[in-house]
Amino acid sequence: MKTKRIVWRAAKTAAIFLISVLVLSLLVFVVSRLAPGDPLVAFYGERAEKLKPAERAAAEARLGLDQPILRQYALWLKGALRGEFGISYKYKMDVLEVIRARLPFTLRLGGIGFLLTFFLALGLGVLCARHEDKGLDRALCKIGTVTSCIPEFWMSLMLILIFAVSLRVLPSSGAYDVGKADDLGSRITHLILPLTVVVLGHLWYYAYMVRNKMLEEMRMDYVLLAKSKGLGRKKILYRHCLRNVLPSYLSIMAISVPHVLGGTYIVESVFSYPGLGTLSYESARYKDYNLLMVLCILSGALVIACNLLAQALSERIDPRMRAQEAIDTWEADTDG
Amino acid sequence: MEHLLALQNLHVSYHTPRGTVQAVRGVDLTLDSGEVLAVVGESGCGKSALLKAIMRLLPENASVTGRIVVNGTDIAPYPEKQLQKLRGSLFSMVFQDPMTALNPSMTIGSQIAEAIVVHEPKISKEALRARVLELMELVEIDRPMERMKLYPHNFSGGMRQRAVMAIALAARAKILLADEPTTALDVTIQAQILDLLRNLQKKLHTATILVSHDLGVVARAADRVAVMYAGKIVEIGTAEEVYYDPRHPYTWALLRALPALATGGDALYTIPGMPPTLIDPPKGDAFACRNEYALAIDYEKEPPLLRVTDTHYAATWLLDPRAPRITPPIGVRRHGI
Repeated sequence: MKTKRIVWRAAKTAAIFLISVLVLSLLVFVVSRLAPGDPLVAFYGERAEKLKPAERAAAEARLGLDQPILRQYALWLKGALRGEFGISYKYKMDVLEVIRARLPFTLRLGGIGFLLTFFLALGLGVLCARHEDKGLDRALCKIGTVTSCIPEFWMSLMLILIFAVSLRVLPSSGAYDVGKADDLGSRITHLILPLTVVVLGHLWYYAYMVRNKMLEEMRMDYVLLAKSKGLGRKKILYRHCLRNVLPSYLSIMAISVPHVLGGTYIVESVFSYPGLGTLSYESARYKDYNLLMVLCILSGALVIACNLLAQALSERIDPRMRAQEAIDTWEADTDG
Repeated sequence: MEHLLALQNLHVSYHTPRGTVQAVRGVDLTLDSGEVLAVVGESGCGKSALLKAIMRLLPENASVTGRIVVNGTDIAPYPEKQLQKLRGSLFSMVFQDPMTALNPSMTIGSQIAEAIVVHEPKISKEALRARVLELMELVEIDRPMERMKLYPHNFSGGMRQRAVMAIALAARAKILLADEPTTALDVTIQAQILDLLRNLQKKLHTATILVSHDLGVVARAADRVAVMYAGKIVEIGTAEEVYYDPRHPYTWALLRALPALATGGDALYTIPGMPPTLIDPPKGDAFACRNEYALAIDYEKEPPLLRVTDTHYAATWLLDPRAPRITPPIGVRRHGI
């Protein structure tokens, strides 16, 4: 009975995931082709403008662009199901190859950025809640409000101005010094400024959330009971309140993964960081359809997967959610 | 004889943006070991504040003055660290709403265990487990072995209140402070919880202060009854004295408002008016304006607690020899004042 239920749930989740991705791919496909712009520019560069109509038609036919949109989509889908996503018009390479070369940079920037945001926001939120309305809390909240109001591109430019132009201590662009691709130190120094912007861009939003949720929990009745047992303030905060804050924090942070990863787009382009962000921007701008499709599906799949993960997480952690599940299955069983 | 607990001139004030609320205004009380003292009064009369003041569980905007003497030692000036050691082991509390008093994400067993471990950090795992089971049996939770692994949402209201009581008893507290322990429960469960409270108190000999707004609830469990109004005790005596020979007009009114004592046919008696706000308490007796037996002096001068018997006191000028004789509207024995 139990294994049957697990299999059923897994099948349901997988089906939801596949259908969502399929619908997403259709939408992106249609919308990207309806948007103005000439894909041949990506393929032929400036020569595209000098093409004769006959050459142009031949080129479009070769790329399959002369077909009706839904037919094009069907063709694309047929290829995609075999794992063939076509070539990038701009790079003249398999799109997966192009993405594979860029992915590690985005993962590094977004991944480290996410982890830092995760732990710093939790720490700062708890710290502020512990010192509610005292000097430290007020100071941190003010700093937070100010930093979260600064747009990322402006903060990036200011950081470049201060640390790269005036002080000359950190590099202003790229992922490593020319010719030093394998030098760890060089990679790290190139990561510091973009990482700072990525973290500061998200940090306070989540820190405030932790702070407020924590304060809400600290006013609950069970805190009084814990106090009447003889527990000290610290133990009450960490053992009781934090325990009730963590489930919602984890699920919200799971949903935020694509935010933080996707939020590196602007930062990547300001710092000319060779990640997926700059790649997506280029592919949309130059109508590099095949590349754009895969990038959109990747980020869409990430969003959907993270949402499913968030749900699974909160179900695992919060006993009340598990109970709801038990009630649901019980009702389903008795109905059937 | 030295009392287990004596409150002397206890004041509790809440400092709010709209002014200072004098929730408790000079309460003197004693509690002996093994006794159940009930504190009764309307919502907002300061009874909960009184309980929380004893354990210093009040919010930060509250201040407590007066003496809280336990076995001859005044614990009122104790700092938080020292109070922590007393909470749970000397006194512990049963809360009004068992639905919210337990942490929703911890098992019942671990919440009980925590109350033991705080005061006995070196206890072995087996001993701890045994003690948790023992406590759950003590508060009459069936099948404790499986239920200790359950979460509060798996428990009914009555069961949760039993769990809260197990927590309160975990470190063998000598004084149990029960803050309206049955108010949030339905009537049949109320009786069960009250009987349990009474049985436990007999078995373990813990002294209990039972706060309630319901004289009917208290009748089942109390040895002595204190009636509170507007932050003061207006009548105190043995349960017998307060129920059968009440002297304060407010006690009369409370008793008349009990459905069980109402004579059939008429609408149930309600006390006219509202309790005064305690930001700026009225001059004289705070109950005077709602009191159909009020004397002129009640509006001028606050009556002190006047002696009826050695155990029975009431704060009403009606006990003064110069007062007019009044036949109380309630009470079983006829008496002359």
